[in-house]
Amino acid sequence: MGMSVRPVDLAEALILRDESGALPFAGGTDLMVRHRAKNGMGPSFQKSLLFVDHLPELRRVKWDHGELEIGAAVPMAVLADDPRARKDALRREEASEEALSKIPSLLRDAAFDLGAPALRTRATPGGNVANASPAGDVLTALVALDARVILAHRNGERELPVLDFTLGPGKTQLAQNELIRAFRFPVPETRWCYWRKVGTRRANALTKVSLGAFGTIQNGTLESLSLAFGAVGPRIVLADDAAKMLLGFSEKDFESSDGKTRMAQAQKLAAQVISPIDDQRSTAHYRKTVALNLFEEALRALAKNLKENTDD
Amino acid sequence: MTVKLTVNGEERQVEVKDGTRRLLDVIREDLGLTGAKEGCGEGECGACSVLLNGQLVNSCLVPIAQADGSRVLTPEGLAQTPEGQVLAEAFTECHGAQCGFCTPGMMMASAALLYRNSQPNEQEIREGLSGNICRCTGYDMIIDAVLMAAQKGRGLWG
Ligand SMILES: Cc1cc2nc3c(=O)[nH]c(=O)nc-3n(C[C@H](O)[C@H](O)[C@H](O)COP(=O)(O)OP(=O)(O)OC[C@H]3O[C@@H](n4cnc5c(N)ncnc54)[C@H](O)[C@@H]3O)c2cc1C
Ligand code: FES
Ligand code: FES
Repeated sequence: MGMSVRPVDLAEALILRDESGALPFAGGTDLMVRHRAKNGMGPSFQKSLLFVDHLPELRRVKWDHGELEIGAAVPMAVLADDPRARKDALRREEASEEALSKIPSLLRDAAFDLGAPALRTRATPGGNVANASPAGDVLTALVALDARVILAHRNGERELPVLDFTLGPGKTQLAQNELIRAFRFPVPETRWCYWRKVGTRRANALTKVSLGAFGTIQNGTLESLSLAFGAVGPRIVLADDAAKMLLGFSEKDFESSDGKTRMAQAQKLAAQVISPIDDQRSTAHYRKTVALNLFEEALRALAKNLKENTDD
Repeated sequence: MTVKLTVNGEERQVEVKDGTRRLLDVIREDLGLTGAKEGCGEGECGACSVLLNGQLVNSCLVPIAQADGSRVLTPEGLAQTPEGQVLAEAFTECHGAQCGFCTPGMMMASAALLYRNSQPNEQEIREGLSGNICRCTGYDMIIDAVLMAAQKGRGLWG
C-alpha cells in the first residue's frame, strides 16, 4: 500500500511526480471504482497517490487570443453549466464570465451527458482523457474540437493533439514525470456544434455510440468540419475524409443533386472508418447503424444551421 | 493523518491511517452518522450522497484526504434545516419513501437540485435525481415530492 500526497501547487506536484512516479488522482470517479475492495471498505492502491483535484493551475478556464484553455481538473459540472459549480469557480477566480461564455455547446453538452449530477461535481476532463476510453464523452468532444493537451513536467511543458495523446483504452503518451495541466482549442465566432450520445440509461450509462461534430462557417459556407465518433473502435475515430467531402457546402447544396451525391459519398467514407466491435453492451452491426444515423442527423442539423444563418 | 471537517456545522477531527479511506466510511463509522448509506459503492446508486462544500457528491468515491478542511452536510444535518423539513414533509405526503433505503440520498440530491434551480420542471427533476436509484417507488411519487417541496419551500432555496 502506498502513501497519498496532496501537494500545495503544481510545482510541488511535478517534483513529487518526478521523484516518486505517484499515480495522479483527480476526481477519483474512475480510480475509486477500479480499485474498489469489498462493501464497507476503502479502495486498495498498490502505488502512492498524487492528488491533483485541488491544484489551482489545473482548475482554470481561460480565454486568451481566441483560444479557450480548460484546466485538467475543472469539474465537469462547471463545463456543463451547473450554476452552483460555476458560481464557486467564479468566486474562487478560477474562471471569468467571459471565459465560461466561450465554452462551446459541444463541450458543454458532452460534459452534461457524463453521468449524474453527483458524478459531475467530481469527474474531470483530465481524468476522462487520461483514461483514454473510446467511450469517453468529453474526450470525444475535445477530439472534435481539435484540442491540444498540455503536458507539464518539472522543467517545462509540451503540447500534442488530444487524439495523438491517446493510444488505446487506458493507454496514453503520458510520461512518468508528467501531469496533464490543461486543454487548448480555438473557438471561432461562427461555429456549428453537434453532440449526441446513445446509451442505455440517461444517467451513468456507458456510451454505446457518440458523435461530436464541430464546424466553422464563413459567409454561409462550411469552411472546416470535424467529425469525431466515440465507442466505435479502440480510439476515437475522426472521419476526416468524409468531412472533406462536405467542405464548401452551403444551404443549397443539401438540395442539389451534386450535393446529394457528395453527401452519399461522405457517408460511405464515414462507414469505412467506423469499425466497431461486439461486446456485452451491443453488437458491431448495431453500433455501425446507429453511428451512421447520427451522421445523417448531424447533416440535417448542419443544413438547418446554414439555412438559418443565410436567412438573416 | 489528522483530518479536519466541518460536519453539519460542527468542527470535527478524525485520525485516519490512510488518506484513501472513503468519506462514506468516516461519516458512518468514525462519526456515527449512518444517514448516508452504502448501496453500490461504485457511484451508481446515490445512496451515499452528501454535500461537500455545498456540492452533491457520492461519498463512496471520495477519499478522505480530498475532503480535509471541507464542509460536509449529511442527511442528518439536512434534516435539521428548514429546507430538510420541507423535503421530509413533502416525501411523507407524497409517499416518496417506501423501504427508505434510497431516501436520505434522494433528499440530498433533491436539496442540491433545488439549491441550483428552485423551480424545476419534471424533466429537470428527473435529471437532478438521475444518479439516485430507488427499487420501490417507481420514482413518480418522488418527483411529486420534489415538486411539492419546491412549491411549499418557495423563498427557502435562495
Ligand atoms: C457511475 C459512473 C458513471 C460514469 N459515466 C460516464 C459517462 O457517462 N461518460 C464518460 O465519459 N465517463 C463516465 N464515467 C467515467 C469517469 O467518471 C470519467 O472518465 C471521468 O472524467 C474521470 O475523471 P476523474 O477526474 O474522476 O478521474 P480519476 O479517477 O481521478 O483518474 C482517471 C485516470 O486519469 C488519470 N489522471 C487524472 N487526472 C490526471 C492529470 N491531471 N494528469 C495525468 N493523469 C491524470 C489518473 O491517473 C487515472 O489513470 C462514469 C463513472 C462512473 C463511476
Ligand atoms: S454507494 Fe455511493 S453511489 Fe452507490
Ligand atoms: S424507497 Fe426503497 S429504494 Fe427507494
